[in-house]
Amino acid sequence: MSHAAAAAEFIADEERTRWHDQAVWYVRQKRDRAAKSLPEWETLRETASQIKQHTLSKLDEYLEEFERNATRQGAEVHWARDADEHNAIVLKLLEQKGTKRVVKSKSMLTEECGLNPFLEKAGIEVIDTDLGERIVQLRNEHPSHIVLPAIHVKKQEVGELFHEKLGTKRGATEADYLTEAARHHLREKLLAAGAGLTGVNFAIAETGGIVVCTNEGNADLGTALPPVHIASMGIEKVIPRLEHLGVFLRLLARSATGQPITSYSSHFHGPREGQEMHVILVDNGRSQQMTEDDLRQSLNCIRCGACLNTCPVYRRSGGHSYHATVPGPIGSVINPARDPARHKSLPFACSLCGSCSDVCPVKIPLHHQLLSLRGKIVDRKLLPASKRWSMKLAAMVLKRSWLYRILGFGARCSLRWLPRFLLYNPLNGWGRQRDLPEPATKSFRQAFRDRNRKPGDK
Amino acid sequence: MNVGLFIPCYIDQFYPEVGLATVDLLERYGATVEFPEAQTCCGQPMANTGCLDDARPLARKFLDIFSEYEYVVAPSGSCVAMVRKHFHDLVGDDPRLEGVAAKTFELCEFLTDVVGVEQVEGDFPYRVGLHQACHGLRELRLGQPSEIVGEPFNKVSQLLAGMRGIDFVELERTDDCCGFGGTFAVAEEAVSCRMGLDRLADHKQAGAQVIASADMSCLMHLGGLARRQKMPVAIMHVAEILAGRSPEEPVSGKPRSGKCRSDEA
Amino acid sequence: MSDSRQQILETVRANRSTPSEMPSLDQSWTCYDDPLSQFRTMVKAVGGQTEVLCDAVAASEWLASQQAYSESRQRVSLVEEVGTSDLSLDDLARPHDLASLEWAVLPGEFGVAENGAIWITDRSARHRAVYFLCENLVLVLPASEVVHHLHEAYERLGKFAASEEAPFGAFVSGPSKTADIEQSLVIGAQGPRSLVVLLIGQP
Repeated sequence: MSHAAAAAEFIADEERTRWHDQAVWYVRQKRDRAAKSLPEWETLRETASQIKQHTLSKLDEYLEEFERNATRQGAEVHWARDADEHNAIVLKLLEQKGTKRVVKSKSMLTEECGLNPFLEKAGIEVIDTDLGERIVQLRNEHPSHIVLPAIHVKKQEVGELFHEKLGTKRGATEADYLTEAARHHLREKLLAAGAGLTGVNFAIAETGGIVVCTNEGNADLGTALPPVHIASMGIEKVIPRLEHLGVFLRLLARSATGQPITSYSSHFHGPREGQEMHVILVDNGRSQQMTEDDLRQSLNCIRCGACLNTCPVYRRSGGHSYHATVPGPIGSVINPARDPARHKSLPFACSLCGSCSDVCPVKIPLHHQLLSLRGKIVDRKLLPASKRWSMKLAAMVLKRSWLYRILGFGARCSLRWLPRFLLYNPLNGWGRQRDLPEPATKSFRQAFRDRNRKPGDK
Repeated sequence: MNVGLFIPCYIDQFYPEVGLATVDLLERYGATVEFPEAQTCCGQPMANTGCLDDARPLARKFLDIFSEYEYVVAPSGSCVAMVRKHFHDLVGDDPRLEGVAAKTFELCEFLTDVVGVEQVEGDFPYRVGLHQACHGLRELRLGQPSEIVGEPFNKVSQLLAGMRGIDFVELERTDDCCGFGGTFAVAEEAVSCRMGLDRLADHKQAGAQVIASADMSCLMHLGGLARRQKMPVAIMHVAEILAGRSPEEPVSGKPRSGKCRSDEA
Repeated sequence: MSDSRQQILETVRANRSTPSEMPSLDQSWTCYDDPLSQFRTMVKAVGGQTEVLCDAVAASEWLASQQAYSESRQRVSLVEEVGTSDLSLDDLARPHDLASLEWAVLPGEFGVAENGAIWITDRSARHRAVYFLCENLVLVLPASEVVHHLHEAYERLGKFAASEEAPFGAFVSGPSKTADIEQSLVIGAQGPRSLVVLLIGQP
């Protein structure tokens, strides 16, 4: 389904659309206040962008340096070319340990790899321990946002869900009560787990450590209790030095939720005593994304979600309308960049307002990338024929000033004289909710000629 | 000052009054204005759809037409952004591009940055909701976008602030997109219209009598929605206000889109 | 497996972007006139509480004066002279046995004024789970140990990971929280429900 069709379905529920837009906009406002509390905000963005750019220029070296140091710290490093390899590595590690119960803290990468269904098929229970992720997991859905996975779910719906799955009181909708119920449920799962899976926010080449940021403390509980810690990361998550965290951690939470920093920013350097720690470096299309100069910068992304929150299209169409692991502006770049045929409508799910590029803490020129992806969609002949031909026709007319003038005149006349039912037909996408412009009797060029005609001229 | 006037195709056909107001204004500040008749369109609709091959001859044609002028001025941030920011993807090999891009200006920035106008004087005793058109704001930096941390400035409202009696209404979202977006307006019709209706609601709650913008394309979309909703608000290009036009007079032989709500309302 | 490693590295190497300089972090970052007071403001803003006390004895007395603390029988302290221990962490074979722990009084190394975060490590805790499993967390640190911002914090941490056995370390900012249900902030998600920061001595 195209984004436009899915969005139209979402928008049909006007009340819900408004609610979603306002909930997400509220997060953007919190981000604005947090950003404005730091006069050096723009310097931080520029510095972060330069660090990422530098890293990508020597990514192979930094990955090897990370591997060396992580190994020195006692972690085992694995490499996975794609989602299948990643999932196979995780399963093998779990089987070696003989564990059937796994807790997972937030990781968009494992979503991208489809790890949960893969492990479940192998008879392993996977519990997402982030509250939002647990909500969507219990609903058999995917996250609709990369930082706020359940932003599309109303508290009444959480109440019904928890009543059914966790035995809370029927009709309960108070966030305090529902969160408390989830706390008991999740702590139970955390205490029973045989392995803890986490994502990675940053991996430090210089020290071989990884950093995981959460507000709930679930990544910490999920790794401090079980005998195995498996961390999955995209290869673009590596940063050269420990000190660079100063830049990224100042930007991340402020951009994401408007907090000055997440409640827990945990630095793992090797396993605890008696524990195993594994880090899986996953490519899954990332190294290919580096080939294209105009798209490479999308690998700067630190998954803060700010571009989703600011995006006027995302806010009004919901994350699921993108049919992709990562929705919103960044998703509309990285998904079609990897699989243009499948995600061909996403670069067009954008009014090119540019807000995403200005909000991005690592200065990815998102809206310019979306524009350049449109060209790639056209090059691969994936643009719908109607659009393709209307553009060809328009260009054919606009190349010829005389033809443009005649047709312009014709258009103005028909707007004036044609009956309304002919103008506003079902084929007129403009006219379903909007009136066409009222036609002027003269075009500007005629009016300008008249104006400049000296008195007495004919 | 010799100015080659660049009038976007939809203004030429549907909003001649905006072009005329632009001419009046430029002449008031001493410019000699020429309108090269061979112009049609900068190619933005094609380029924004990804059809670069279709847009290329139009960009080339633009350079043919405008490279001889001292300045090129257009009452549209979007079209100027196309020339300054995106022509290099189309005609980057053309030696004339750099020169043309450097001398092509959106009307308001031409007045503030080239002519050196601080404020435009005149009367406009209305409550105005200023719609920040995205390309003017984020491609040309006619103002400080709400995402950026820094000193606020706005070349459009700075010029308007000189009009006696003008009262800028306070919007809840100062620069959220209206949803026009070129072919987006039709391809993503549902989202586009929802975005536009939300903008209109914001202007309404703020009590705007006039919605003004430096980009007519946004206004074509917002005006179309407002008319369908029978919303009592006038839609005006900033050039018209600065040139001394009234929201209560008919334009180009037609009533103005949307009647201005009376002050008692 | 090594095939994958080689292949990824080769593709990455082949697709390197043009060389670009590493930026300098030597910039004029915002500092505070009174970092301790900024730190306290930020801890409060992120849902925590601070107390400035002249010494460990005063800190211990302050804790004892808190009814919830004094009445609890599930307490542990790893800070000398502050608080009491009803159980010994070192005697526990599994961190899971801490699941009903009500209070943990633990050392923090330093605070960060810009965001109210406290740097903790598991150097002194046999089970680092104690920082996250306890119902209420009390972090004790010298009032003089507050840096302005994260850049200064990482300068200080420069060598922490260089050793062969780097400890686990974390910035803790407030208690565990979530806003995953309709953006309503709830304190006490899976981890501690409260955070008290005891700042000892003169700044």
